[in-house]
Amino acid sequence: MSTDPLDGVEEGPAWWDHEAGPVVRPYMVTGGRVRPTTVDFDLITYLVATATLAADTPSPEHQAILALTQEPRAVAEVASRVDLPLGVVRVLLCDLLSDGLIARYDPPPTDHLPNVETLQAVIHGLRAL
Amino acid sequence: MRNRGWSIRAKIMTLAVVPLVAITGLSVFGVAVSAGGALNLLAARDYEQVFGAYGERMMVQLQKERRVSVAEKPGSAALAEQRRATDEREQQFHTRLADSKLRDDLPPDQLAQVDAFLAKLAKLPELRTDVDAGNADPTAVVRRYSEIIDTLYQAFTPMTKLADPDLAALAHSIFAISRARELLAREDAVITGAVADGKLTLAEQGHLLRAVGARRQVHDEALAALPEPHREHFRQIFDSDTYGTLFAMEETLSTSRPGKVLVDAATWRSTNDAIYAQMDATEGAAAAATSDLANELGIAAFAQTIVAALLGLLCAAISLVLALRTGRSVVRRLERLRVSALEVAHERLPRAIAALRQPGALVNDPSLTDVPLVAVGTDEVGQVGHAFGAVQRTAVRAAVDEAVLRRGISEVFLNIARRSQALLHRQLTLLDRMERRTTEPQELEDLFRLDHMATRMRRHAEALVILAGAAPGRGWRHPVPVIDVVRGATSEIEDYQRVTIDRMPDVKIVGRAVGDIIHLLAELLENSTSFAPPHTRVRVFAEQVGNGLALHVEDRGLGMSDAELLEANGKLAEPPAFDPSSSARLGLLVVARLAARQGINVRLRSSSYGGITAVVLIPTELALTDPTDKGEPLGIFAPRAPRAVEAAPAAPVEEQTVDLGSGGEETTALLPKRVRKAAPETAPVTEETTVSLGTAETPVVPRQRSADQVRTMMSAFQSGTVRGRAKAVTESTANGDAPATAPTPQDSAGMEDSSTLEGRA
Repeated sequence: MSTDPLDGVEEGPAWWDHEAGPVVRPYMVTGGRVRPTTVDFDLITYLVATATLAADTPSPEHQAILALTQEPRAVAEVASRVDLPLGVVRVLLCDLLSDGLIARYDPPPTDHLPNVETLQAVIHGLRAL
Repeated sequence: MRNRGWSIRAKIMTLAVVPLVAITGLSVFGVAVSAGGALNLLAARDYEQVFGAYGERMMVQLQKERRVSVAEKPGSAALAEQRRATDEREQQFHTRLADSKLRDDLPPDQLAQVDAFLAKLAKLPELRTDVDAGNADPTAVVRRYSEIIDTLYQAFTPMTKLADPDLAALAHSIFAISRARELLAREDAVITGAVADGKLTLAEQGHLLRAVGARRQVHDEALAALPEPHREHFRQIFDSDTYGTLFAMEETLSTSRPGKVLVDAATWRSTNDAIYAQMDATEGAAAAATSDLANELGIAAFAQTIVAALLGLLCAAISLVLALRTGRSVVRRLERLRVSALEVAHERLPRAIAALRQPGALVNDPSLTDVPLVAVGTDEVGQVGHAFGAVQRTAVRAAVDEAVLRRGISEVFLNIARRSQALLHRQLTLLDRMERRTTEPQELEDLFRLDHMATRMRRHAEALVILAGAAPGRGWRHPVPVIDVVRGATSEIEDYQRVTIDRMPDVKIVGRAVGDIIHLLAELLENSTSFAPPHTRVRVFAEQVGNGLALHVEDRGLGMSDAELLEANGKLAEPPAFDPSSSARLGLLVVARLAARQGINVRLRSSSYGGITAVVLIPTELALTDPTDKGEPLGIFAPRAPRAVEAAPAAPVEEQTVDLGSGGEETTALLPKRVRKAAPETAPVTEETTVSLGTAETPVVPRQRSADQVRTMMSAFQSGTVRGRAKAVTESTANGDAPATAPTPQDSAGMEDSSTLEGRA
């Protein structure tokens, strides 16, 4: 616990910065909503922004997601980068989707994935790098 | 008492004046008494000058005229000569009597005697006419002259009535001697008349016998009463041979038969004249001595009077001076005591007690507890001063005790609140973790409810801490965007969903003020949402103004009356002392405390919707608008120099941010420490952080790696291949207004913080 006094305050706060927890609680980010309104997002669903930053973008978190998805990113990565619970990120993504600010790309079905041999070859190739 | 309203000075002066008047009255009385004696002597002296001197001289001439009138033939030259001398003396006497104005001052009985004498004297011409006409025999002539002289003697008597007893006795004796001398002269006149006729008639002898008897009687008495040395002088006269001859001749004439005169006329004449002259001389000397004595006594009486008067005056002056001095000293000390007591009662004591009531007062501050002694001394005034000092000390001690008690209660509050805070903090940390772990919306909703309740409880605990005068539990070292501050505040109230937050300007709040402003706004929002109807919304908007940032919290409620607004604004401007008995508007008190601590101005006013708008003016030094002011957040993260906020950290931040994927040397130099800090906490997230940072870190190996996580790693890897492009895009998008400038620490640093935070969570 950091009790490093700041500016000579005789009895400073008990928790500093990140130790104090997020300034904005997660429920505040969604306004208490927990369910995506339209569709659910898989963790590996790719997202790409269809617009740059909109001036009337609702919240900093929405802006951060838009900024991140200027190139395609998976939902999991987005969640990790904006440092929010997945449930919250899903709601936010739903907002952006319904506003038409992002597009989603679902991963191809599992049966279309390369077989094990191919993957092995890729791994070998990568190791050769 | 009617004089209760008088000042002490007036009362003391009254006390001093009463004995002064008494002393003065006594001394005047004494002076008057002494002056009475002196005035008596003075009056006697005047009387003596007129009668004793001029009356005596006139009497001597009258005695001679009596003798000459019976000795000479009518119309003789000697008789005419004698009458002229008598007239002259009489004239002098009248002139003197008129000049002295003695009659005006004489008492009635004396005036009657004087008037009786003057009436007799007026009959002198008639007597002379009878003598000249031969109508009167010698015996009748002698008798009629003697009557005049007798009345004169009666007029002399006042001279013997003197206040001084010795003087009176002396004067009386001299009067008697003088009387004896007159009787001797009367004998002389009778015998001279007998000699002139050549025969002593029976009537003459009777007359002679009465005169001789009276003379001897008077002069024996006078001699006995005379004081020394006058008695001795007279005794010499009467012991002399001359007197013996005279005495023998008197005896011869008294005892012989009427007829032939048996004594020698010449011998009688010479003897009688000699004795008469000696008596006159001795009497004159005695009278002079008496006059001297009277003078002496008069002077003594006057001196006595003057001394008495002076003594009285001196006593009065001394008593006046003493009274004034004592009175003034008492009055001055009382006045000092009064001034000092009034000052202490109306200024010093209330000030000291008010100062002790302040939350942070030092109860041992000597300037508060040292109350000056108002008066010194051991008399009643001093005792009153000491008593007053004791009262003051007791009052100050009571105030100190009260302050100590308040502080004790505060500390109890603080202690309990701190424990609640610690528990809530742990609870919220746990909730954070659970929220991140869950994938079920239903579960998340419940967690959100728990989170919300815990957050509100945390706010209440913080309110207690603030009321106890301490700092809230959470602190920030780096600036926080105002939007986050507002949302943080909103999340702490019950009806957070009713709050609409407008787009906020790009302003950051300085770290040290963040906690207080969050709490302040939360209290205002709580007020707005609870006092406005449930279906209305509360709007928060901000605008940058000349001297800072103005945050408006606007409700659509019913508003307040002007008087209520005025009172509320007054409380906001001057936070009253915490009074546990009135907890109705505790929120307002907390707002006022926080605003005062941070130099924030909070005012309530009616909004155009009828509700209340709270305007929170955050001063410029707390609201950072300069987008290049980025050093602060990073400086805090620099592990070796946590306080180096201003200068150095700017560059590392940028590099750290920019090189997220590449793992540059400078970054890696910093990174292990950050990761190490984060390491003890949960693994999966840390691992993600590590991955997102690039290849530099491998020490933390995930224990369980799910398929999702593998996919995440892969996408991160994929994104790394295009990092150059990604970097440019991230910069420009994050810092929408200025795409060409350096990467905005605001976002990237924020994310950086978040990742670290997540790692620790």
